[in-house]
Amino acid sequence: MSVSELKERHVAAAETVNSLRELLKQKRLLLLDTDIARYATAQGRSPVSFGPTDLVCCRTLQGHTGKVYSLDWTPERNRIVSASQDGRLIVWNALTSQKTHAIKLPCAWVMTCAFSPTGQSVACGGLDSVCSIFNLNSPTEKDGNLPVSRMLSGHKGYVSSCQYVPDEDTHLITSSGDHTCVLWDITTGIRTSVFGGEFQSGHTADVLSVSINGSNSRMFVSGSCDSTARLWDTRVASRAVRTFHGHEGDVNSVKFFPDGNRFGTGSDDGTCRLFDVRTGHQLQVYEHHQHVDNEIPHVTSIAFSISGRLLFAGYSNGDCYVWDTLLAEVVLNLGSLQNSHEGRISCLGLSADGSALCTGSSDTNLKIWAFGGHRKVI
Amino acid sequence: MAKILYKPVPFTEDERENIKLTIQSNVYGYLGILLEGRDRFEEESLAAVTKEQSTDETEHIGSKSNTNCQTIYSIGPRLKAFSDWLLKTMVSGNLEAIFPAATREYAPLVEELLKDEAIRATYKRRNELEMLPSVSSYFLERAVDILRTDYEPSDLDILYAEGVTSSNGLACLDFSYPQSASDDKYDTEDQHDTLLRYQLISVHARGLGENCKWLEMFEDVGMVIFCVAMNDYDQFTVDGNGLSTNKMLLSRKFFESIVTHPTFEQMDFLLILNKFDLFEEKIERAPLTQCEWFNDFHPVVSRHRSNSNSSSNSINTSPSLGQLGAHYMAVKFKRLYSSLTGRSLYTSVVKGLEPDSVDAALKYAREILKWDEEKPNFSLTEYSMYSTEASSYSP
Repeated sequence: MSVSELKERHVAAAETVNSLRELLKQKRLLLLDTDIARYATAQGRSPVSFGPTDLVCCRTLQGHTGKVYSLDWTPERNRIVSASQDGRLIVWNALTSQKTHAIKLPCAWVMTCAFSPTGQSVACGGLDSVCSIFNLNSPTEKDGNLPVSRMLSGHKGYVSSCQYVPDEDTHLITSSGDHTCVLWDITTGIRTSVFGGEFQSGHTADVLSVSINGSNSRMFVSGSCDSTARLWDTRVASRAVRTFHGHEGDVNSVKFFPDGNRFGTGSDDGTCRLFDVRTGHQLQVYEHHQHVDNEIPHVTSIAFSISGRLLFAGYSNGDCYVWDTLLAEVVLNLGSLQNSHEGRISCLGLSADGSALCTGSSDTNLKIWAFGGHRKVI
Repeated sequence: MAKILYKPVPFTEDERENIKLTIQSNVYGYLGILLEGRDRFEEESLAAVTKEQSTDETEHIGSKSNTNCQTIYSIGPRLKAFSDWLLKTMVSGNLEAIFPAATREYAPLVEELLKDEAIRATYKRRNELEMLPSVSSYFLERAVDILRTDYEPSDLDILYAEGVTSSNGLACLDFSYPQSASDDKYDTEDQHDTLLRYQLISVHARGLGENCKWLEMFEDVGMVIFCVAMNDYDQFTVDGNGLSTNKMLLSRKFFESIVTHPTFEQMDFLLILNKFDLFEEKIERAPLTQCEWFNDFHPVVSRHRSNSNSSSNSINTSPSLGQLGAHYMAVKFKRLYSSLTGRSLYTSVVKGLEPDSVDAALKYAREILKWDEEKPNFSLTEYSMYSTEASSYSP
């Protein structure tokens, strides 16, 4: 078969796929007779109410000299690792605000960082296309720097996000600008699986974020500049289990819902969405309609509270909305509180016990927000 | 080049090792293109010969099989087997897998291949091989030396080599400007320049993905320097969809996406038109209009054009075709830039291999950054000057 014939067949097949996709979309819309918010209101539920002392900024972590791009909590004791444009990773004690480690990175253009499940190592990645692992217990070198204990190289594009597989210090998943996600075996430095890429059906643009299912660590979801989120099974690297359409812009952040049956996404189109893993339906859109100057602020990062009732979303204009996921209403804007960040919120994360939220911003600070007053652990 | 200019030890041993492997695999790449070209030329010649044969049917009825025909592009079966294997390895992307063992085992075969008449004939017609970059001749001439395991790339080799900016797409260089003799005429206020540190970040776009999301990390840089190789106007490459595209047009598309990116809304851009020496030489034989964007290039060149060697020194001679072409290209980019952004583009023509040329361009970049810093001061002084004049006119 000649090349032009193949091309023709490819075009025809793509058209068929697109029209089938349209049909599927229409069918879904028919089946989706309501979304979560309408159902909940119909049931007479009312939104969570936040008083002025319910969520306050109790700590400001200062020390970075550049924009903070990423942060992660330890699963155990309350420590945080943050990555910044100044080329450093800082490990903080969240309770005392003290810095326990300041790691100078070989490549200053870091975009992501993660704590290992045991809290003994940190991983980071960025424009150097490599994921570097540092063991916090190793002795420092002559110049006072912590040595890199392992470099995971193989990506052909920047490393945008990384997360350790829960309960193991030995595996982690990275997402990259080369359109793929990779599961690494850290002890050998080998790529165990590559999700997506040239000959496999995966993302068709840079992958910006990953989130591993807390209840079933074999499943993870990835968000990409191709406006989709994809669900993967680590045992099957050849194709995604499901692709979730709906967003109209780059999906900057994905996070699994605490029970593992749903996940949330945040995108450049200014909305967050909740998707159901088993049915593939888009359950809810969280969109704030007040747009100043027609510039829609991008959602840069999201996190769920332990029960899932609250969705925290950080925006590029410095706002940090707390959404009531059930009723799709904003119950609090951390950006309007006293002592809030002065720049865009680039990252946020909830502590392991759900009692505190940490936000990182381009104003070079991190802030810890604690639930004060009567602590309803919601 | 900046590394060679500003650092006492430009490259570490590891880097040299990597560069050597890059150069060697590049040479294999060029060889592959050459072999593909040979295949093509052979087919064309055979087709031409068979056409001749079919017109003389009465004489050659018996000998129909083409395999009996020999053209100057044919190579012996052993070399052909090697050539086929090399091409197959390259196409499947496994060239890295056969390194570095390849250099030892296959070196004698490669040497034989390069001496073969067929390859030399193909090499003579290399201008017709669209995919073969102009810089390949520099390396192919010395291929046998380069492919040896003990080959050490010289500084010039490194400059000429393609793909040497680190494979992962990013390279950083911190430097401050040394005071050179010609800077004596600056007044003392400029002495503090020696303390200013600059960071030159080199980004090879291909390595960082086609989507420009990573650009957001550079929103605080002082200036973006966009390099375009001038002699790319007649070179082609295969893009993501497998289509053969003009390299200059690809550069233009990339340029457009960068200058219009929201991250760089108020950013200063310096366009460096690089490889002027190669361009000047090429434009004499291949018209600029080969690139469709430049199809309105109608240079008025006087008949008594002087030799390009002396044109840069004498002010009395009219500009060479190369200089006219460079000026035209700069104007095209400037117009494109102001139509997209409403601002003006800074341009500089550079011969990437001449230290002075590169140094001048970087100094220009430094000046632009200084102008930006001092702009607010100027507007204030203008105002005060104006107000004193007004008061001097008051009755």
